[in-house]
Amino acid sequence: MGKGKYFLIILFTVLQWQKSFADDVFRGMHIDNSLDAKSKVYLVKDLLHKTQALFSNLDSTNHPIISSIYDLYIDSLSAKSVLNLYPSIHKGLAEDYKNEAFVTELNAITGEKEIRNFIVNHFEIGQALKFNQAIQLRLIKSHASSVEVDMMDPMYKQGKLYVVIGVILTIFTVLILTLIRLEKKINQLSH
Amino acid sequence: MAKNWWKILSVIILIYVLTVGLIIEVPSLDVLNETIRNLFFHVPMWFAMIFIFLGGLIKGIQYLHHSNKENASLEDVLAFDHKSNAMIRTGIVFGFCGLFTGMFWANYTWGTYWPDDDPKLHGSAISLLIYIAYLLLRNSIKDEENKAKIAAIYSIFAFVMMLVFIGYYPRTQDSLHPGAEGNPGFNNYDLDNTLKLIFYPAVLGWTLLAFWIASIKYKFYRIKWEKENIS
Repeated sequence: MGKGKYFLIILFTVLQWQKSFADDVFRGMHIDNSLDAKSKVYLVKDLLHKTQALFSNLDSTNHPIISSIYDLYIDSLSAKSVLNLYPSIHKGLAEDYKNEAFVTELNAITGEKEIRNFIVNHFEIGQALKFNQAIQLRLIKSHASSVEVDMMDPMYKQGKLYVVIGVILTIFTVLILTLIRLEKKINQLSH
Repeated sequence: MAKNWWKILSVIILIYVLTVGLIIEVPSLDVLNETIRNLFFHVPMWFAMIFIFLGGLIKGIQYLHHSNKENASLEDVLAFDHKSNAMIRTGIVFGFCGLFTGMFWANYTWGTYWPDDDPKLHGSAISLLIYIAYLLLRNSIKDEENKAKIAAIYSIFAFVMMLVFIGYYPRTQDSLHPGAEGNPGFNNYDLDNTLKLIFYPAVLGWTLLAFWIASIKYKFYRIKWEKENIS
């Protein structure tokens, strides 16, 4: 195992460091980290309202409860949890809305407590992902955000991205050199 | 040097993909955001896997065809099997690379490493399991010719099932992946052709790298076989 052991230790360390780096780089890229919490929530709300508008176009009815649900849901959460849950917020709503029983239940809601229970009962991750993707893709086609989001994370500007590229290129170079070395050895053996 | 032009090309292309792919400005899309850069790794790796599995299939069929010829030498005929084996093993590695890059991507965009209800994920995992069974099958047979014959036949089955599980079946179901159930295909993501500049070379680069690795594996199997059988 010898030298291989040290190589593995170094590789593992590099990958762990790179992963935490990547976490910072990629996680911050959902929404620019330089925005304050209020701006981020505004951005998410903006996108949700656009989603709602699209949602009402999917089905000819614009149910007043839907906007209440969104507002209540957003206002009841902190900015951070809104961002974490953002992909899941539209969980299954449009698909369910085609269901008569669902619409009946929706129409029966008369108060805040019932709205909260409705959200808890219907917002499941599994359905969320399905609906979310379809809605998100429709958003992509029509989206024009009223809040300009700078998609270049500050880390890019600080040049840390180039360190990440350097590490990736180093690993790639090691791989290629290993392949070249193996090929030379095998060619020697075959001759 | 002239013989190895395609290896040099793969290195140049991949250096281009690894550097420019991470620096270039990409379309700003909801949910995906910067993670869309994974398009230059995840999808090309799957393409490389499919192409190399196809290569393994072709070599397997060539083995079956040539093994019936009366004047064919065992050495020449088994070369097809060794190539097929090398390609399929390399394909499995690339399959796992595609799987892990996909899980990494899914975590950032879908909120989980492995969504429960995406058929393409399950299909790709099943495909890889089918090919892992190919390895177990080979290891369970001692006789060279029988091993080669059965492995070649199995590789035909495995390739077809892979196409079904990865290509056909997910498109008939709800899926989070592009190209299924109302989700647009990839060309709709490329709003300004920027991604195409990296994506298509990346497919070529990763595929060439896969064939390079397979060629080294094949030479290794060849030398091992010659050492065991000819000496």
